[in-house]
Parts: sequence; structure tokens; C-alpha cells
Amino acid sequence: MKTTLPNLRLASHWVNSMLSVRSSTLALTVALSLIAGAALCAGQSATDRNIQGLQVRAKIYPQDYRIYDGLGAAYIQKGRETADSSYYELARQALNKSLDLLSNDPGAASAKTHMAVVSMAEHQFEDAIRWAQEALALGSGDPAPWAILGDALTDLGRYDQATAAYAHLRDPADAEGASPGVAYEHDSRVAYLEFLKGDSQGAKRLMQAAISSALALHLPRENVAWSQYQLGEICFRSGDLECAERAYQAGLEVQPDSYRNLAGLGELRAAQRRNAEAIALLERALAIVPFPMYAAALYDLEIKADHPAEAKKQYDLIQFISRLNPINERLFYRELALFYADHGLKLDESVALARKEIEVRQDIYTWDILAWTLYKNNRAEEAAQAMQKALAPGTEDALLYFHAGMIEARCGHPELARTLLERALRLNPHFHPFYGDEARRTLALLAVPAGAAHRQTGAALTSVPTSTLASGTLKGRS
Amino acid sequence: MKILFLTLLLTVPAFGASPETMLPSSPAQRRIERAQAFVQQQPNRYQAFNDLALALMARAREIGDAAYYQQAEQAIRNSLRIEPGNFEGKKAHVALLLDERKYREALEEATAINHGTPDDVLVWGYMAEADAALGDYDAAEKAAQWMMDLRPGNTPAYLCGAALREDWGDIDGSLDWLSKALQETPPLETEEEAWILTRMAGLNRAIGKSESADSLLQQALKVFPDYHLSLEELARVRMAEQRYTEAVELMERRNHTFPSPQSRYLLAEALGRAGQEVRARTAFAQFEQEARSRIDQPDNANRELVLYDADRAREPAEALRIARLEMGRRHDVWTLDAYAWALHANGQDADARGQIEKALAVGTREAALFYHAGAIAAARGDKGAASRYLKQSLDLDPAPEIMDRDQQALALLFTSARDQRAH
Repeated sequence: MKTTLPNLRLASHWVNSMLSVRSSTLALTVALSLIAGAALCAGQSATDRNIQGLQVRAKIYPQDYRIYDGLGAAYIQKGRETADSSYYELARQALNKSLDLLSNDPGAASAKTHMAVVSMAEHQFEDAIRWAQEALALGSGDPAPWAILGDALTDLGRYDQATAAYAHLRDPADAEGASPGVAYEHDSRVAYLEFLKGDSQGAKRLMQAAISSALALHLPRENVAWSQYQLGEICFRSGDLECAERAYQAGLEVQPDSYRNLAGLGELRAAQRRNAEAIALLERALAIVPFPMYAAALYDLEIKADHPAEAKKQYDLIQFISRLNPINERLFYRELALFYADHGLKLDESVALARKEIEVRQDIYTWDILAWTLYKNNRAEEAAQAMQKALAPGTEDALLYFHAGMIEARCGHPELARTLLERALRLNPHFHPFYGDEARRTLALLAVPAGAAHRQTGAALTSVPTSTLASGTLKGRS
Repeated sequence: MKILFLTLLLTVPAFGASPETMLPSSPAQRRIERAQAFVQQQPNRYQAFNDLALALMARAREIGDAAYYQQAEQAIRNSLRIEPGNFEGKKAHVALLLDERKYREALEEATAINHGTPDDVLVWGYMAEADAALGDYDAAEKAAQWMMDLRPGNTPAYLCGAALREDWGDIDGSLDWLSKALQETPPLETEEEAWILTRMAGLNRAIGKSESADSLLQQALKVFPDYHLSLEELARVRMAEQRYTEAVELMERRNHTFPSPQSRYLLAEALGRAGQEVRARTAFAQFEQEARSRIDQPDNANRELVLYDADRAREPAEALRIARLEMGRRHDVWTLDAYAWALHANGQDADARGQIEKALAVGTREAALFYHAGAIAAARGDKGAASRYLKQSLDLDPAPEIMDRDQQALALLFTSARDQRAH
């Protein structure tokens, strides 16, 4: 979409319409850095070939900063495909080399943006902000750093600032506001912010618009699949299971091995109590990318299916992945904290992990997990304070309301607890394999006279999913 | 004299900001701290020294303390010692030369870099800045156009283009591109934001929009408190509004730390217009002492000194000597104007006319420039041209100062032009 170049002597209004947006970094950013992470690339071998090709070119042209920048981007992609965080270190080395060759020019904005993406991938959100700011300070005219800046601010819970950053995602060449590429970047991100603010319908509309842009742009399959997954998540969390089903299936149609959509559909099947299908889908996802959250979901399902040996395998896998290297350890604080809290395991450690995470990430879901771990450690008052922060933006998420309801019940606020739990179930009656039933049980207890309810509720609210296997085996191991 | 500070955007990745006197540390200070930490961690990594050099230059600009340039030069030397001829090190050196107003050397080095790497946007920007400062506006235009062509929509190109448009008198175009640069300024890049706002304020003041200028400067001082460039510009606005006492207060505040000869001159002018003649004389003396010590240096205040010698000190011969010295270095609008004025002060009005017309040909719209053109025309007896120029000057600045030494005829023409304008 390159157009005639602006001329210094020309009238300003004419120049406005003639500027073209830079799309190189933007395209990479589409692929690499969307809020929940980019999708799997077209194939592992393609990325490997890309890396090998760039390595050869770097030997031939050792002074070309673009090659090292491209190599860094390729390593990032590889890291996302494999969930092997050591690739991020390789990316950082390549990007540093690029920046050694060129750092003080708009041409270096791409490498600095990729540095920001690496920092995001490693959950170094403040560093991501710094790199994105540095990229922006180079004034390349490429809006991509605004996207990463917004992402980092979102993870830090600075939603208003994130909104302001995303507002820069527009194409200066387009008088209407944005070209499809920039619109995609904008809509897919703002959809998540709208969801966090409690506007699920608005979020769905934006995400659908983003998908339309992605299709119109013929973006790579993984980007389209990622977008469908995002839509599925918004639908699922806000209780629209049909919409979620359509989105996940559409994502798998575009990219059959989209691990996110496999896992999303697996969780949906679990909510529909189609556990065998759920297990099969999550196992497929886990085979592609070993994320501990997939293993944790499988763990729950195996327990529910009374398969203690299989559950134990998942438990071991979670421990292994999380401790694979120091970066992984940091990356999965939140997942581990939730897993331990949910299952009544290593409860002290669960709070410690949540606190470590809150040091670097202050979004609502980290506050939620901190609240939940505190609750599980019988520190309900502190939990309620943390939960207030999680609920502040007004996110319509059944699991959040469930956690909040259980905490309020423990705090001795049965009316509020009832309201919150009812809201969770109204939003999505099947939001979790265990907690839907738990919410109904608690509501039943809250229905009996106040004093008795409080006592009984307190007794009933411990380590719901640790039943069967966990109490006998895993606790002993921890 | 206008200073582009093209490197500003590239050297101040900021997190919160404040000048020297305030805590916590400013964007550039943080950048220095970070760069120094990298230097300690990786003492053989040349890029760490380049980053340090740029951060030190940014700090110099933040507070107007030229002492940082020496440290920056040392950092660049370290970088080039580790990796002789490294690209970013060479670029950093050009940036330093520009900040030190060594335009001819900067142009030579930038041109050499450009021959080897013709697709680097910023090197074209350095060339444009040096070309404009040396008075080669055609070359500056070509270089700036390359910036835009290589990477459409890049902010350094907007800033460079805005400066050239200002030189050409396209104030609206300049404001438009500064606005674009401002929109692209990342959050918390406070000094950068303040710098752009201050430039925009300067343009508004130049076309008589004091209220807009005031508003922009208040915004600038809010995001970067006590910014010396914003305080200076606000003082100019106050002088244009004939609020001289406030201008004096602002300049005293500005000169509290690291006063420059130019800022001393502005304070002296403000004091004079505020009727504080004794203090004004002292301030002019301070200015003169400092400015004279720098006559032979690239980073000088020779334009101000020429005006001072011609108008206040009644040393026209000295004014012309200094103007000729400066003309040996550069031929930008302001040097041409100062030379013309010195020639006029020495009664060489035919030559003065030639020089002022060269200055005006660039297109710059500035009240002082038209005033000088009017005075020179009047001295040559060209009443028509004098009236026209003086009216243009009044259109831009309704309250200019008429020096005692100006001829009575000029004063009459001036009054006539003012009356015409009033009707």
C-alpha cells in the first residue's frame, strides 16, 4: 500500500493523505505479540528453515542489522511454537547484535520492538515498556511498538494507559482511521480490554471485526486461528457456549493443530460434561505445546474420571515443565499458584508464587489468583482486599465471581456471597469442571439460617478438587 | 538562533522526568545510569559507550549544561577504541558535533557516513541539519526529503521538515508536522514532549498568537517542570505581550542553572524593556563578557553579540568584524540577518540590502528580520519597501522595540505603518 511520498513543500492536508504506514514490524508483531501470545506458525520446519537461512545470511553479511533483527524475530517465533523459553535468550542475543550495528535510527525500531516482545514473553513487563518506549522514541512511524506498550500496560493492570496506547494503532495514511492491518491490531487488543471492563458484547463485536480484518488481509492461518480462539475465550467466559463452540471449531478448521483452540474446545467439552472428549482434546494440545495449564486441566479431568495414575502423570508433568529452567519457573508462577491453591497443595508456596507474580504483573487475573491463594490459606480478609482489585474493572467472568463469592462467604457476608455466586452461575453454569457444583452447594448452604450457614460454609470450602488422588498421594509428595 | 536537536527523539527514552533540581532523576539521568551499568557489565561492548554518549548529550540538552559534551566525547572515544569505525559510534560523533554547533565538521563526517550507508534516515537528518545551519537550504531540503522518502512518516523527518518549513515561512506546515511528531511521542517521554510543545509555542508567538503560545508552554512546563527552553520561550511570549517584569522573572528563573550567553542576553533585554536600566546594564555586561570569550568557538553567541554591538554598545566596527567572522562559518538566515544589520550599522546599506534580501529569500517569517529589512530600506531612502517590511514586522509583532540609534525617518515610517495597520 505504499503511496507517493510526502513532499516537504506540499500543503499539510495533502501530505496527510499520502503518508503510508510502515507494516514490516507490524506484520511481525501480528504474528508474535498479541495479548495472549501468537499462534503456532505454519509449521515447525518452516521456522527452522527460516532460522537456518538467516544464520547463513548473517555469516555472509555480518554487518546487516536487518538479518540479526529477522533472526531474533524467528527465534521468538520458535520460542512461541515450542514453549521453550531458551529461544528467547537466543532472540535477545541476535537482537543485541542487530542493535550493536544500528540502534540510533528509525531503522532500529523493529529490533527494539522485538526486544519488547522478548521481554513480554519472559514476563518482564517493565522492560517491555522500556523497549517499546525506546522503539517509539526512534520515531519510525511504525505503530507496532504502541501495541506492545499497550500489552505490557494491560498486564500491569494499567488499563486506561493501555487504552491510550492502543488508540495510537491507526494508519496515518487512512483518513478514516485505520487500514485493515492496523484495525486488526487495534480491534483484537481492545476487544480484550472491553471484556475486562465487562462489556462482553462489545468485546465479541470487536473480535469478530478483527477476524474479518484477518481474513481480508489473508493473514497467516495461525493469526486467524488465534483470533478465533480469543473470540472463543470471550464467549466461553461470558457464558455463551454456542458462540465459543463456533469460534473454537472455526479456529481448528483454519488450523487443525491450533493448540489453543484444541485446549479451548477441551475446556468447553469439560463444561459440557463430555469428559472423554475433553481429555482427548487437551491431550492433543499438550502434545503440541507442553503448557502446565493444559496439564492442570487434564489433572482435574483425570481425577473426575477416577484415573489417579493418569492424574499423577499430569501432576509430575506440571512440576517438570515449571522447573525446566529459571525462565519457565518465572513464566508459570501464576499457573502453579492457581494449581496448588485449587488442589490444596503446597498452600504456603501458592501464596508465595502469587506474590512473586504480583510484583511483576498487576492485572486483574493476578490479583484474582493472589486472592484465591490467600483464601485457601484461610486468610479471607486479605483475600477479600485482593479480590476487590480483581473485580474493580467490572469483568464479567464466572470464575472471578465464584472466587469472590467464596471469599465473601468465608468473610461472613452471606448476602454478598450469594449475589456473587449466583452471578457466576447465571453467567456460565458450567464455568469449571468442579466449581460450578461447588457454587451450587455453597448457595444451598447459604440458604439455611445465617449462623448455621456461616459455620457450615466454612467447613465445606476446602480443597474441592483434591478429592480421590490428591489427598492420598500428591500431598505426601509436596 | 534555531537549534533543531534532531537527535532529541533518539536519545531520551524516558520514565518520568524532571530537571536537575528535582527528584527523582530525569529521563536522561536514568538513561545515563542504565548506560553506565551496561558499561560496567560489558566494558568491551562498544554500543554501551555509544548509548552512554547519547544519554550524556540528552542530559546536556535537558539542562543546558555543555559540560556533558566532554563526557560524551570521551564515551565515543571509548566506543571507537573498542571497535574502530563502528557505525553507531561515528553517528554519535556527528550528533555531538551538531550539538556543539560544529556544523561544517558534522556535515563532512555525516556525508562520509552517508556515502558508505546511504539508507540511514538519521544520517540524512544530520546532513539536513548541518546544511540548514550553514545556509545551504537546497541541500537541506534534499536531505530532509530523503529522510521522508526512505521511511515515510518517521518522526525525525517530521521534526527536520518542520524546522525547514519554519525557515521557509510555512508556519502552518511546520506546526502540522510538529503536531504529528507530538502525537507519536511515547507516554512519559516528557522532555521530548516539552521540546516539541516549546517549538510549537515559538511558531505561534512568531505569528502573533501569544495566547496559543502561552497555553502550549504551560503544557510543556507541566510535563517537564522548569525546562530551560520552555522558560526562555515563555519569557519571549511575555515580552511580546509587553509584560516585561514577568519576562524578567522567567529569565531569572531560567538562568538559575547553567545560563547561556543567549539566555543572559534575553534577560538583559527583558530588564531593559522593564525599565530596570541599571540591572540591564549589568546583565548586558555579563552577556558581553561571556559572549566575547566564545567568539572564536563554534558554540558562540555571535549573532546576539553583533546585535548588541550594533545597537547597544555602539561598536559598529566590532559588530561588523564579528559578523564577518561568523559569515566565514555559515550563511543561514540568522547569520545573514546579523551581517546585514552590522553592515547597516556601519552605513554600508547597499551591501546590507544584498545580505538582508538573501536572508528574506529563504522565506522566514520573523518580526525582527522584517524590521531590519525595513530599517535598511529606509536608510537607503526606499520608503515603499521600508513601509512594506515594517508593516510585515508589525503584523508579526505589534510591539517591537525601536532602538535609539534608529533614524527619525525610520521612526516616522514605523509610526505610519502602525497607523496603516490600525486602519
